[in-house]
Amino acid sequence: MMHAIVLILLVPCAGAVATCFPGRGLRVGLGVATSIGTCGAVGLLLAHLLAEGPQRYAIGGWLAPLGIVLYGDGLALLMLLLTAVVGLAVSLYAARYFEAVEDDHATAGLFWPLWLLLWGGLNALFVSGDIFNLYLLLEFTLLASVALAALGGSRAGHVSALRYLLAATTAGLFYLLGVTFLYAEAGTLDLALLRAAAPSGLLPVVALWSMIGALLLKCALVPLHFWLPAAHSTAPAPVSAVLSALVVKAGFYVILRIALQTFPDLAPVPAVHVLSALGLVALLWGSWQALVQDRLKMLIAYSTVAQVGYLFLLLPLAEPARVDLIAATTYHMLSHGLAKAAFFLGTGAVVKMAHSDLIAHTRGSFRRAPLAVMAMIVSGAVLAGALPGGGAKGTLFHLALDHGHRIWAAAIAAGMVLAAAYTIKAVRHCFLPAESAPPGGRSSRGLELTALALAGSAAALSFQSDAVLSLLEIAWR
Amino acid sequence: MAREQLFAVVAALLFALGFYTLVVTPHLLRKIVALNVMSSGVFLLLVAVASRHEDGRPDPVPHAMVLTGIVVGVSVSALAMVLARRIFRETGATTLYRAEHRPQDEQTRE
Repeated sequence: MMHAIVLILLVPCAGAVATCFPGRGLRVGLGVATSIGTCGAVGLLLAHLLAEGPQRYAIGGWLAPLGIVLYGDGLALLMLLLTAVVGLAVSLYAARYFEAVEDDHATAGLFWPLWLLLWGGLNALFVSGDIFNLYLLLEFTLLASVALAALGGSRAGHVSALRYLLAATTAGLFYLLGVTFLYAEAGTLDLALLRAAAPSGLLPVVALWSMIGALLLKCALVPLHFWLPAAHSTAPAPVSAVLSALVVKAGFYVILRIALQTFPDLAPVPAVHVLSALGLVALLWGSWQALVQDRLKMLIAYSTVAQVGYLFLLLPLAEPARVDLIAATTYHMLSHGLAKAAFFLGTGAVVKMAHSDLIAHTRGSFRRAPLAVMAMIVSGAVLAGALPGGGAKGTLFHLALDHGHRIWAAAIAAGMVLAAAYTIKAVRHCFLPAESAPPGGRSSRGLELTALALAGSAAALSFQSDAVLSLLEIAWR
Repeated sequence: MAREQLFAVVAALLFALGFYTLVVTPHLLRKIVALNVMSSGVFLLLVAVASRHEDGRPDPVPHAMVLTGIVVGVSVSALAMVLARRIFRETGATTLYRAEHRPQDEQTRE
């Protein structure tokens, strides 16, 4: 019997190869079928995990230290589930999105193989238990992300994609340098063996921070966010959704794995406080930047810069609070992933209809695309923690207050208010009457429904916060 | 032992030179070359690490990492050059800054 953990890699990669060849209609069908198949494989892995506990798979029967071991635990599975939900929505959305653009034949043809490769790469990254394998998958997902980001075809899109590639590859080399140091010190690449070896001294600390610094750029923590707003806002809407919701999270996921799980003792305290301070700056400055943008997708991209700040804000919380911290940040990753993808997809439908990315040009959109605007409002409410219970923001807020960190709690509250403000700014013009007869007709119901369904799932996650958090605790044991 | 230290020093120099040039030089082709110099530094360090085995035989794992790393480097360079060439064809610019700040056709993107 084929192991489910292999299927989650094999299905999307096989789909990526298959979608390279056939004609247009068949390609979309194959792409959507592959997406459904990948979700099925993740579901199967979830069933195995619930029945048997954490899953291990040694590729080719070769065990660590020489071989590569795939490792599926609760955290990995939550990330896989997030990727599956967002991925399925993006695939259904893209099937309609690129179909409607007649002159984008080449774009649509390239989208499916690249997107399925990216999905396979992300799945592999989440179950990877080896620091060098993580490097390869970070680069693999980077190559697919850059090619997808350049799909928009505009000059600004190419420039931002190349800047993203150069910056992230440089960061990747710093990560590889850290891997080299760690291997020289501990003689293994496997996360579990590295944890057991527990190297101490200067070299492992330098290695760890070289890797963390590289990952900070990949998850765009201020001031290493410079590449993100342009790259995420010039890409086509389904690509923006994937980049903001999933690819950025992959960087933080590796930080969680390496810094919190594998080497919890190596992180010197002042350095972690610096990360927390940067998170604070990201949260406030990113939200402010979002508020002053006049282009919709740029606003959402800066919102991502702000939301990444939450991930680092509470990082200095020490040992007894560690489990709560990991649970709360994971919850935030899931919540932001769903909400941000929905925000981008809803915006994509509005922008496509208005033929403009300028907020001022979206007047009258609510009449013509009510569901898409609803999706933007609901996902904005999730980002702002405005739903009853506060969702992930509420959890982070209480965690900060419980440990007596009033400044962090105040920052989180400020971030929530700013998120509400920029959501209102993003949708305000949609409710104003159109100045002239609108060009073009209604927007596609399929696009709107997909965005709204995803926003609904983000809201549902907020209402199930207790259930989700208990699930996270089980997953971590 | 002296040979490994020489490797490590040269590796550090290559890495630092590559990183410096990457940050300082605006020209895209130079940036791509600098990226490759930087990665050569890491590869050289890995080769030095490989030779540190007790019984004198080299450790194969870092060698495999270098080979895989070269494949990554080739792929990244290829994609970067494709994008750089496309930017050059569209704008005539060889730097990201100039490609972004051309006086005409600003804000024409829809």
